[in-house]
Amino acid sequence: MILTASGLLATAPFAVRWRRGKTMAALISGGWLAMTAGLLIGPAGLNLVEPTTLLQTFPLLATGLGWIGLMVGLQLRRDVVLALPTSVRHLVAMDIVVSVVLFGGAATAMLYWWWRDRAGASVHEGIVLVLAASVGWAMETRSLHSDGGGPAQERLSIAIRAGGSLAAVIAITIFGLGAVATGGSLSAGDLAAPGWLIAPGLCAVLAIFMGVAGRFMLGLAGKHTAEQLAVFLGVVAFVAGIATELGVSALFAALMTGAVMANLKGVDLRRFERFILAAEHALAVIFAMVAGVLLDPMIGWTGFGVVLVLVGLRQTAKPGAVRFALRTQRATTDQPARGEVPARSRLYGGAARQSPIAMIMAVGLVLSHPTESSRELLTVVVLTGLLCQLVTMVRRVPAPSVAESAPVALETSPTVDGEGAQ
Amino acid sequence: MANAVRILMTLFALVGFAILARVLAGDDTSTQIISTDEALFSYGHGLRETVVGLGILLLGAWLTGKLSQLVKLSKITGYILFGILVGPHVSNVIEQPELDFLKLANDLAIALIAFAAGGEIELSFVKRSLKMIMMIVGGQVVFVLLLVGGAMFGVFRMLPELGIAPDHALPIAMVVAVIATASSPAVVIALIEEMRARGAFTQAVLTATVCKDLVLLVLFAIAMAISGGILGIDSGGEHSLMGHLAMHLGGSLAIGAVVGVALAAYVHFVGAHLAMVLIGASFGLALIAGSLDLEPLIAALAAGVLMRNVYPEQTESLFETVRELSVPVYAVFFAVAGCHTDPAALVTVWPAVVTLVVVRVLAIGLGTWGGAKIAGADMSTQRWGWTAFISPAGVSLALVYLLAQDFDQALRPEGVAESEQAPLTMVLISAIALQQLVGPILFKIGLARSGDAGREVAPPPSGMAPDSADQ
Repeated sequence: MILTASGLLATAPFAVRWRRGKTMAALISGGWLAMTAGLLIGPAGLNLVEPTTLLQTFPLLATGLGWIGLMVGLQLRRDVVLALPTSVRHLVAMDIVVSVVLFGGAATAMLYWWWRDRAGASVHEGIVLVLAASVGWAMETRSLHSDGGGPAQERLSIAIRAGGSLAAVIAITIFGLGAVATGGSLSAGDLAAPGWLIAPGLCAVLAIFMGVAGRFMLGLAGKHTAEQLAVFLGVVAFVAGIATELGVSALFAALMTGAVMANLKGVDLRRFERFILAAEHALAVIFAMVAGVLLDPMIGWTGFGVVLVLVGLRQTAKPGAVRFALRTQRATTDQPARGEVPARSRLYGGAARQSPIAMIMAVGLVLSHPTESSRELLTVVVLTGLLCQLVTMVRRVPAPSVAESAPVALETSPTVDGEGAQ
Repeated sequence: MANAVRILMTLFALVGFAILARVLAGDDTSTQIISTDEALFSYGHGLRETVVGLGILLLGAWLTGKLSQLVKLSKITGYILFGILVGPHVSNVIEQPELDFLKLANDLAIALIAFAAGGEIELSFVKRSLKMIMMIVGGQVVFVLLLVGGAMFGVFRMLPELGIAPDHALPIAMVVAVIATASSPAVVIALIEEMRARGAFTQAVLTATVCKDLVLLVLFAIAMAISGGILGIDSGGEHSLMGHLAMHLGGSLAIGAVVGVALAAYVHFVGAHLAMVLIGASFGLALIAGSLDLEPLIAALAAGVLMRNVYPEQTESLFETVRELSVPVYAVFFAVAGCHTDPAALVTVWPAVVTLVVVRVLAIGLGTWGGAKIAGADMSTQRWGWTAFISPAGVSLALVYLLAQDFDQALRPEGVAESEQAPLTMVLISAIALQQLVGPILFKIGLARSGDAGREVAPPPSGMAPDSADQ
């Protein structure tokens, strides 16, 4: 596992070159190569790494989940969130509605049917995971760009990326709160209380405490990278550990902590963020490999049917919903339109691709509930992501009709448009 | 003062939060969570809790290190103190099962520390100063074996409550004396980095500590074999088979050389994600050495020495990354060492502990001074060299447990239950604990007095070369 991960990391500089090609960009950004490597060394392949052996490294993997959560949370600076175009917020809101109604409904029906004969299967957790995984889309747009798209195409690309990032936060939140709601109870002595009542509150307190303490400790660390790293790793491990003890997703707890840290004044976090983000590729490789090892390819025809339904829903509902949300965002004021989005573009189809955070959440579920059902769900999520990626790659975009050919104004913020701050 | 109060408040809040979460989560979250469905895997008790344990140790030790700096002590003393306070023997915030699972982090730390130590050793210096290093190491070994061995023989005869039979006293005293020769390269390298020390004194003590580690393994194997023979105990394992010694050391050096060449090639041809690759290599080295019954410390040392001396330019960025990883690694490593320390043991067996510590310090002092004087070393090495060798090595504890395990019958007096530690084991562990606290303080003084402290040029404040920014 270590050798394979090191080998994949060693290809990182070459990967940058390969990503210039659209197909390779799609493959590498989705982590499919690393996942295939994991599958090959896992029980489905050469059986060099057993899932049970891998789960022994739980402390490191949980810390990794915390790292990712904190990385996402640190992006939630108030000024950045406020600078997001209204259209992007509407776009994400529309996506959430579509996901809850369509995917939530479908997941409920399918999982109850799939696991109808299985006593004790965690159907509710499965529904939460499928729902959370359905929110948002892959942020990578390089593989979908066509030549000569112009500024409208670029604007759409920005909207897709910004919407995907915001939706990832929502997805982690749904997953975190959903996992708590479907979890067990917490008790202090004789005073037992449902986990969903205490855990989120404690998580919020933890986030505020660690946010404030983290800021203080970063101040103490000064500009020394080694000292900052100690603080960062400690915060990540502590938050992930407390979340694990409370039965809350480490991703979610760390996201909240990151958001608090990002919005407290006093210490410049830019250097800190730089080295956190620098590990993004390595973490993606590691988690994709872990997912590959933990996969259970024998999900049967029923499981495969669930995958096909989810892929079908994503391919039909998501691009349409994104297009509808953006195209109806005409400037409602008398101001001239600040930007336009194309009527037809492959980028709309990009919304059918699953967010990479879905795979991370699925791995998180297997780590917190190491059961066969969780592995099956991980497989469903991974296969859905893979098939959506493949379909998007081969899908053709019809030429726009005359009525549709006029670009539609997209209200974008001045910051995103590069016109300076308001 | 205000900073100290803030640090203390943060420390208390951290520990308090962890305790509150544990109380709320109940005794066994692991079994509660996987009680339904067909479990693929059952987390052992303590595995899940290890995550928060790691967080507490990292942040708590780091904060205590900052506190101890405020009172002019070494950071390492702070790390160890925090470990003692939260460990299973005092407050039990970090429980024994968590410590067992933290072994993985400890293995990683040992490998990284050894990489760093290896990277500090210049073979040209060793060649130039071979006589001095041999004299210092030889002087120490001879004096420690004679004085500590003799003192322990006397203690065993005079303190019957230790339960060592008169005819067992000599061989056991010999093994104890061998364990007492060990010094900690980790403390030496950590303090050298903390004090940004450079110079002849620094090079001499570091190289001697590392060389002594190699000598220790050979000596321990010989002592266990001889003592086992005298006591009529088949101590088992590799230390009873002298023929395996060469394979043990040779294998460790060979594995280290392979890893060193591979890492140098990686840095030269790829050079990306150095921190992750280094962590992976350290884990890999520890796992391979463990499965082949080799010594990870020596293997990583060999890798470090090879990289520094054969590929110095190619691996400069790698050692910079090791340096950047040093603070979290040292914090966890020394805090875990503190967790293993039982201060209560000191109360019951203090006369033997004090004798052992005092005689060991005296023997190391005499040995170092004598060796350095004969070799014509500089005055600072003669005067202050001994301070580097007081902190016992991490391997000392391992050797104590090995002794306790192999010679259990000989060490355990009648009436002491098997679940309890034998009195001599308590003596040795307490002595190690005491020296772990005192050692860094003494070496900090030694570095300052030698004039080497602060001579290394500090890195630029940005400290974020593109290659090394991938933690």
